[in-house]
Amino acid sequence: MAKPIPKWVQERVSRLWEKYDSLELTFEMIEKVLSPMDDRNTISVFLNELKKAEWMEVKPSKEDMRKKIYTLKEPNVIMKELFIKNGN
Amino acid sequence: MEIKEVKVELVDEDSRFVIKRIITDKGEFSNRKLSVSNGIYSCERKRLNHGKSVFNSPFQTFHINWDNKEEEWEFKGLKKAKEHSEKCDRIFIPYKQRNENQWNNLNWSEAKKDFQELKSKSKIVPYCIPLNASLEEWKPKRDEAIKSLEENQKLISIFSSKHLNLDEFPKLIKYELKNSQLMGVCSYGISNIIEKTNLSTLNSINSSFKVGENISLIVYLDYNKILTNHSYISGAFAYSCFAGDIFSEKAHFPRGMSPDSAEKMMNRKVSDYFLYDVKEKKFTKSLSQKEWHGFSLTNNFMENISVSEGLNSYDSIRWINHHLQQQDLNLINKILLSKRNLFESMKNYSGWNVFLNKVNPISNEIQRTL
Repeated sequence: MAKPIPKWVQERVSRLWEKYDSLELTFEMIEKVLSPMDDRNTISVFLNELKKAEWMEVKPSKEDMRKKIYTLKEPNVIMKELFIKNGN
Repeated sequence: MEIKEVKVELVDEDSRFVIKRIITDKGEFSNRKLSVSNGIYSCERKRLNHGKSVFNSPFQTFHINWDNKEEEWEFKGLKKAKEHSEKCDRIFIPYKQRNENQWNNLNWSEAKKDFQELKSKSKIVPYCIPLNASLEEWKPKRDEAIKSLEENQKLISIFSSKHLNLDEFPKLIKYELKNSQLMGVCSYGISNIIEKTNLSTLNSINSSFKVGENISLIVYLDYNKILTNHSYISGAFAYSCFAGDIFSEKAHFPRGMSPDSAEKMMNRKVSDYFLYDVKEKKFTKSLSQKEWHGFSLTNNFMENISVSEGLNSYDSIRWINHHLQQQDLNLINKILLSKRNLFESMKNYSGWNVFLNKVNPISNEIQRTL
């Protein structure tokens, strides 16, 4: 069940949603969008925040097990989960 | 200005941040203040020529340069800086800016010689503590040094954040926090485990004081304004997470630079300057601002600078950066006083969130050292 996330994390998720149609992203794809503002340290904290708040799932890539695939939940699913969580 | 008393005003149990009330002969104020350090003092002098105001801080520090060629400390400018601080009703702290090697080689005899030299130059007199010092060694030297001071003078002990005697560091810190009004810590960017352990210990002991108790102010000296190894956050913020009360960033002395570095510095463009971004709580450059926001915050700021401010482009950015960082230190105090959850509030900003995540100032390590 998705939990609220900090404002700066929200802003970055919106940028990813805006940039990509697919919800399945590699680190490189995420880095491409966030790197003007964020270094790798910041991106790794960003990803941890998303995982912790259950906005995203992480699994190994089928093509290369060393790489990770970050799957963002659909915006409407997140909204629904946050709505339920708030008891509405 | 003279400090009469420093008292604990509030201890936040979750974050271990402390608000201290500083009572002086000219009024009262709270901790988390940027001092007017060498660079800002230089800006102030230029601004005063144009009838502009000075930076609002009750503290001024003067970092003294070690002249490598002459192999001596360079006191040029100290007297004028002190006079300026008196005119501005400030507490003036001179400080010999040692590099790491000089700290490693510091012994009691040199520390005492330095103390005696600075005794004739300032009301606040620094006494640097060698890296292996114990409390048992320090106490008699401290008593002797204080006895030798005039009635209106005060000693400030200065520790290295890389103090090597890890067993004694907590005892030394506790003693100074209880028995002084000012203590200094020379710091290196939270880059190694000794530094982190010592600073975490300092943070724990500082927050173990009770409301109303007398306590010393912790002056962080010689830190990098921008912590490049910590996602470009402000050094002052990083050290405020480790009990910092007063902040005096590292001074850069053009005379000590190599010709190459000096030339590079002279040729810097506005796009090379870092600007403090209050929204992100970290320093950014023009190019990344353009890519991220669609416009450059730095250029935007520069377009609004009036010539009558008396500062060149580099000094203008330095001046505004100082203001913006102080504004954020004030914000921390505001959050604490409003009893909101400080760490939760901090997590809304990328720079602060990343630092708290990577360098947990209240990690288990601290519990162990207690």
